[in-house]
Amino acid sequence: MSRTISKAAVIGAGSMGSGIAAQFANGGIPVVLLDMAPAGAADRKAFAKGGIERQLKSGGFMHPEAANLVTPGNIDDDLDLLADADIIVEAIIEDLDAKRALFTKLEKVRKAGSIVSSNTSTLARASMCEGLPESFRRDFVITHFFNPVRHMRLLEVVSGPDNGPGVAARAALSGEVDLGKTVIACRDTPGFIANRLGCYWMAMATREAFAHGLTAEEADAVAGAPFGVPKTGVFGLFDLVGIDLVPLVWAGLLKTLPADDGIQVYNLPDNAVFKGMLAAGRFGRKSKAGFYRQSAADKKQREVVDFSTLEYRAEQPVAAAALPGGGKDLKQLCSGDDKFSRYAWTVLKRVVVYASRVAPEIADDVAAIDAALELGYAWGKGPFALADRVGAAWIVERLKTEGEFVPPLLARAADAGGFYADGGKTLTRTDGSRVARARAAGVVCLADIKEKTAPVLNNDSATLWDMGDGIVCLELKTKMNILDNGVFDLIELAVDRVPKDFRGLVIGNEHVRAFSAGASLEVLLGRIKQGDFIALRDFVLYGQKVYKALKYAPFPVVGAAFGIALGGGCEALLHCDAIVAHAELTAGLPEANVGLIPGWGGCTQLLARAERSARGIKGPLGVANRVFEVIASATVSGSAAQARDSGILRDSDPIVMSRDRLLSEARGEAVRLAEAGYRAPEPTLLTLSGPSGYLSLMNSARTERAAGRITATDMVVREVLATVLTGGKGADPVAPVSEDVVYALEVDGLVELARTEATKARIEHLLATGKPLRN
Amino acid sequence: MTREAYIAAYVRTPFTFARKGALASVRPHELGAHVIKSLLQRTGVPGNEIEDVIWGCAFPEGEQGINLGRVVGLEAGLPEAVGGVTVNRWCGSAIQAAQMAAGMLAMNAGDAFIAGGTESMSRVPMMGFNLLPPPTWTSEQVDDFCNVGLTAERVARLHGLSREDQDRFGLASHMKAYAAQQDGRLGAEIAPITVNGLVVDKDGCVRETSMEKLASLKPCFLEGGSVTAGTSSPMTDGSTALLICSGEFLKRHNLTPLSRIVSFAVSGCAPGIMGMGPVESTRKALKRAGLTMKDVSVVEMNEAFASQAEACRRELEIPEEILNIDGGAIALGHPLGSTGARLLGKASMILKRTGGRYGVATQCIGGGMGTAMVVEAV
Repeated sequence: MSRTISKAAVIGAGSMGSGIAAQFANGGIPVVLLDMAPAGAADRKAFAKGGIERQLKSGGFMHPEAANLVTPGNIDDDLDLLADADIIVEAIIEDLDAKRALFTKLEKVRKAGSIVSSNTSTLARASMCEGLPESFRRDFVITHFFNPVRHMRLLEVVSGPDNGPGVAARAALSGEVDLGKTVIACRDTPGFIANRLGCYWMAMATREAFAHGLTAEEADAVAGAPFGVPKTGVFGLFDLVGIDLVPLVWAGLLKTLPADDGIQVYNLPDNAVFKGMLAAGRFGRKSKAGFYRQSAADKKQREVVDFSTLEYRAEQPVAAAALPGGGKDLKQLCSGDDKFSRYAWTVLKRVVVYASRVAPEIADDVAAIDAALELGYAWGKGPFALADRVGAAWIVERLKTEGEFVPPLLARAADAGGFYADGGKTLTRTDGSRVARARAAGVVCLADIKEKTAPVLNNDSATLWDMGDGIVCLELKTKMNILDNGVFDLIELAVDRVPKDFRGLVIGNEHVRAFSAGASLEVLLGRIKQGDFIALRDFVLYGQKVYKALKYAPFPVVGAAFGIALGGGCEALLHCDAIVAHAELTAGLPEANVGLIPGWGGCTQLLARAERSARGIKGPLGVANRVFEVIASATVSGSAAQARDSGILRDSDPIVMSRDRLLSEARGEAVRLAEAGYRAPEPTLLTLSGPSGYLSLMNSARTERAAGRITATDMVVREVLATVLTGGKGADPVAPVSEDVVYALEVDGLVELARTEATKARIEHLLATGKPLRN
Repeated sequence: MTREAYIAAYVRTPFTFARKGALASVRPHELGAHVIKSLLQRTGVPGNEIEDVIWGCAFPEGEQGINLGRVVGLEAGLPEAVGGVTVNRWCGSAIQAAQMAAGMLAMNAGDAFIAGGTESMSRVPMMGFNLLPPPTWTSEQVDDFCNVGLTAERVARLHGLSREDQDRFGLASHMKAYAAQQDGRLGAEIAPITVNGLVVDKDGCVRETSMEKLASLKPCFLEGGSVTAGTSSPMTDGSTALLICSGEFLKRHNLTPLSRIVSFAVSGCAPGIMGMGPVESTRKALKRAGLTMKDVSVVEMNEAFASQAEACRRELEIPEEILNIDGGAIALGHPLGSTGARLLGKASMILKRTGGRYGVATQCIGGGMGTAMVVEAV
């Protein structure tokens, strides 16, 4: 689905406003970013420009070029720039009067039907609208983003009864399609969903830690990983978001929420520890001192605040294995009788009870609340899914034993066997009723297809699914979607089968992190250790054969790329007719990190793409040089836009912001190619620079080596890579050759490197430590 | 048929860092046209009296391809009848351009020439886009020819120049250039250029530094080596033009010359010690002029690297006080194909300023060469 709007505007160039503007730009949407004109400054756009600079530095842009889509300005001189904006997002200070004054100004310039939204996190929509004309209220919603905007997938949208028809839906659709967010519809209640529960949890878990006599690192070890919460836990999270927010955010919630709300029991602004931290200017990472800090004497040593003295002492890490249940079994952790177990149980019951109590007020169903915590606070599971994990009935039983209040929603879920049923297909509404899970229109889910249809083809490593419209989807299902012989077997069968019953193939899956992590290093290492280089060569040849079969198949093949697509996974994409890429794509050919070169056509196809790229540098060496740099330095992209720089994506390959819509977009692309009368590509010829090019590439490598920037093994890998990319001894740029020449050199080169001790050591080291060895 | 050749005028763009400097966005032909226009404006010489534009460029490809010498002339508004040629002797290109003008004058093949050069190291990288050496060469041969940083390391070793010796030379270059900039001694030769609405009128590479700062830099070419970014000339964008003409032409246009070209020489040496090139070429040029170093009052020697410049200074027994008086390439920058004309122009200007008689401009050249030209104040 293409963009839903043509132009956006953001007012307020602080970290949120500039982050939102950057995300519009990441989605390819021109955006105006306005802030105040600095008093007396020569450059009246300085604040807005500063916001763009900040995002460039902090990685808010997926590619530096995206910053060109942001037009900076100031509210006094440039308000006219908003006249043709489809969405205007307000992200100025949290001051009701200032916001209302701005909205009044906007009414005079914005076009009819444009959406105005506020990024407020503490103000109510109703109060912001007060006194403003009906024409404004019709189009006004809250769009509450999370920081950093690029990486936090949650977007809370709050509409009101006075909104015009479709306004909230349009805002939500833009958030989803244009910005790639998961949109949760919220009600106009304090803190909306994520912060209402998240702030409660932070206040409760810290004060309970004090009450239970736990240190910061003990509390974080218990309330973190065992709950599926990031290992920063709760004190680490305060350091991350800033302890200085307590007087603003937590005091604000205490004021706006009723006296019987659970958060009132856990007053943070009044707490001696927090008061002491604030008085000492210890705000967390931003002031380089919070509950934790780095030791001045030893950078590797962390220090922790002692709650009774507020002095720092050396951190005493708590091993997960030392916790009841080994830090993994939450139920067991909650069942013991030591201070860890008592704390864990308290945190669990408080968060589940609070969530169950407030749910009817803040959301329609439990999935919205779970998603808000999962996406806004990076919890592995939200409170209701967490309750199901240990057993809602078990929680209720214990609450009753302890004589505690059991909220009706929790009681009903316990009776029904949990908040969710049928593997998530059925869920509980906050009024206690049950509904079937719904999907947004236009979203294709393999999970749904699997429920309805049988596989077209299947083996232990991969499955072929009929995804409708005559298109099949090749789903990998190995660990991290690594590539093995089973995957190649299924691709061979698919290439044979598709033309009989279908018209196109999509390679894609719904793994949370990995399109494909590439070849299994364990398998490679096994072959190397056995000295079975014949088997290794066969494995490489088999991969090349099936990838080439995909490339030259008589039907279109489309890659639905997302997450990590490395090594062999990236090479699969390089053999596709088109790649539909999720904007946050980590793609690359990092084989050099393990002392190897790409062997499944990665070198060959990257050369072919660079040679055909409109932005390629001319000359026989220019192409090889660019590919050499990408592969030799093991470049891995930080976004799809960067993968375009590396030559992995073509300029014509679409980039989509919404992860949820990736498969449907890829299917659409396959249909388009099929309906445009798809024909397999002509055999590829490559212009190779030969021994002269080899000398030249190695000259740059020798320069790096002399200066001590690369290692002896790096040189060995570069020698092999340079041979492959320049076509070996016989190549001459006046006589283009078949790509098969380079495919063959890849195999020889890979096996040659695999025989070296240095490569073996690199693979072993990476498997053992997860980090590349620089031997 | 021998005729004297005079350097009648000298002008250049500011020299700025490649890629991050103020001229990075300017195409090389625009840099060249800018200095030619300025040269004609300053002298009042009509374009149709120019015989040829002789233009140095070390990597004449990409935006510097299609005969840059012809392109800069047309872009500057010279009549179509005026010729244009591109000269490539790598770093020695612009000094070679001046020699070609003088040679053409000597054989009566024209009265006035624009000689100079352009290098945008932002837009065409050193060694170009397609470095393709003879496949029969060994890796060492390619290193010697193309990795000039390593040749600087070798020269330092062979001539016993310590890291401190080089840092001291580098510091002197920086401090001389900084003082010259502060005193306004660099302004007269610079033709300010407007880039994206902003006027660029100062050299961008010049900065104040100290031995401590220089000592803190890491070697950039050889692990454990001694040559750093502080003792190497930076990648630079810039363009320089000289008006070289006959004595009759000077009179006809009422021009006051900066200097007379006395002699020229080129010499070769082992590619792996290319930085020593100036030694032999300077000796040859002085001999042809019937002079010794004792007769010389100004030497402008390109500082590709502190190690080679200092080694050459010692070999040639050049007194420190006459060498690169307004700073050298380590501080000012070294737009390869443009530098030689700056050395000639600068040597001539300093002769005027100080009342000296003979000046030498000399350069080392990658691949193992040196070039030198002797000028005399008039």
